[in-house]
Amino acid sequence: MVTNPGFMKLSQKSLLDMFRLHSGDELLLCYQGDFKDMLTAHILEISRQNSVLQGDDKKIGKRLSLLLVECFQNIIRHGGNDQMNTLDHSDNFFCLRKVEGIYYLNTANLISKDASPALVSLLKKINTLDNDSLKREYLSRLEHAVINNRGGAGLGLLEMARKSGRKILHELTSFDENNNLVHLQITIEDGGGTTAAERSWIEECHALFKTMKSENSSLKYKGEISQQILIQFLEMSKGFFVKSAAKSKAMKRMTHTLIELLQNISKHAKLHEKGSEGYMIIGQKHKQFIIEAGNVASEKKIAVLSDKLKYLSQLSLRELMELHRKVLAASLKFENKLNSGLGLIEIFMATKSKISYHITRTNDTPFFAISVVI
Amino acid sequence: MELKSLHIEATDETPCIHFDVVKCELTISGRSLPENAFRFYGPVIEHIKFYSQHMARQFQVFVELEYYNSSSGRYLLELLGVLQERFKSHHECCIYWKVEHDDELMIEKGEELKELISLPLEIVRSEKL
Repeated sequence: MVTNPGFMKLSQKSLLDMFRLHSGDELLLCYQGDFKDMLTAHILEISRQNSVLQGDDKKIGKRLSLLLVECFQNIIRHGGNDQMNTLDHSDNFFCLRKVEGIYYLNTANLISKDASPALVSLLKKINTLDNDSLKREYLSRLEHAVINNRGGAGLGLLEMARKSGRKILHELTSFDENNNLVHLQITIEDGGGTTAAERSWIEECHALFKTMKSENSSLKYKGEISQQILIQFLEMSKGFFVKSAAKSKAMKRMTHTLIELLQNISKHAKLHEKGSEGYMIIGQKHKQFIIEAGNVASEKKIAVLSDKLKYLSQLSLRELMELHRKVLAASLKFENKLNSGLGLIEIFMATKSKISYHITRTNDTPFFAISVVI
Repeated sequence: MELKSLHIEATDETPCIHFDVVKCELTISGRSLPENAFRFYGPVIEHIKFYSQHMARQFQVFVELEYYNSSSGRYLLELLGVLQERFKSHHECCIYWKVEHDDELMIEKGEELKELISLPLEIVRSEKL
């Protein structure tokens, strides 16, 4: 591993842990932080792209989108701390996971202890209803229910239950004197209507949420890396920055770095014709942003990449700029720019060499992880 | 021979290209991050290479890119190289490299290109692109 002076590691271990724990997942997308409407659009598009690239039945993709919207609206409407009368967005969590072809949507948000019994009672009732009863209950509430002070009448939960065709798994854990953390899990069964074993990820998601909070990471992702997905991450990352002159500079550096990091994965971790699989974490520490990215690659590719990184990490910024200029000029001699290494040099320049990398093997599968600080 | 202008609308991953044969101007704006930059820039370079031979007036290039990937960088250099070949006298072609005033990386990229080509390149800092 190379660690450069001034480099502050978030927890590269977390990306390696993610690989160990989630290498079997077809998709993992976790977010904790501020839930804005714009975020919904980006998450929707990322999940849609994954669904298309993985060849899901169109009906599943559509149902997934509808349920994602309901989940987000539920968090946006209810997430926050009732007693304090302020929204503590860092206590909201969302996780979309696909395991063995089944999608799981897990959310966590605060609810006041006073309001908890009514919610639990509603969830219990919903879970006893069949599809026709759910529809009747939905229509009845639409007509008669009183909208609560957060703009809800339980319609969202009823919709989730109807669209998922499964029970809504739920769990309340005490958060503080006045609030509970409510965990929900929606399962989306496969297109054939088969009933895969009901599996609760709530405990695992709670642990994931706690880890993300403690390491101050906003996003964890394991899934397809394509151009359309990269564009969604670029737009989403802009939301991590509060507007200020210093932040604007950092945002630009982050944009450049994300493009090169993800296109590097896209190029070198090809899974199939249309996409590649990668891992990514975006977090913050001491007012700096940390991006961790990784992918499974061949031993040969990892050896070449390690050599390049080792060499680049020894260069000063001036030397990196000189090298970039030479490589760029030389690249004109080739018809198509492939593997020139310009992207890597640009990552070093954009991050001022605050880079570290690590290679690990699980069941003989080599995994390459890189961390950069912005 | 009729000179043909070229206009390509911007997409999420490719910039807007506007090559105006009447005004003798080329504008590249937006963002450029295609995975295969050759596929996008190849035909643009060919078009400009062909028609620039027949342009008499002073030529101006406006690059107003928010950001571009390393792959696009290689083709931007090639494109400017084509213009350099055509407009050998420095006074016949000028490049205006417009950047947001605090975008250090785009300023560095402009300065790098300035060293790699012999055409005049002016870095224009503005509040917003």
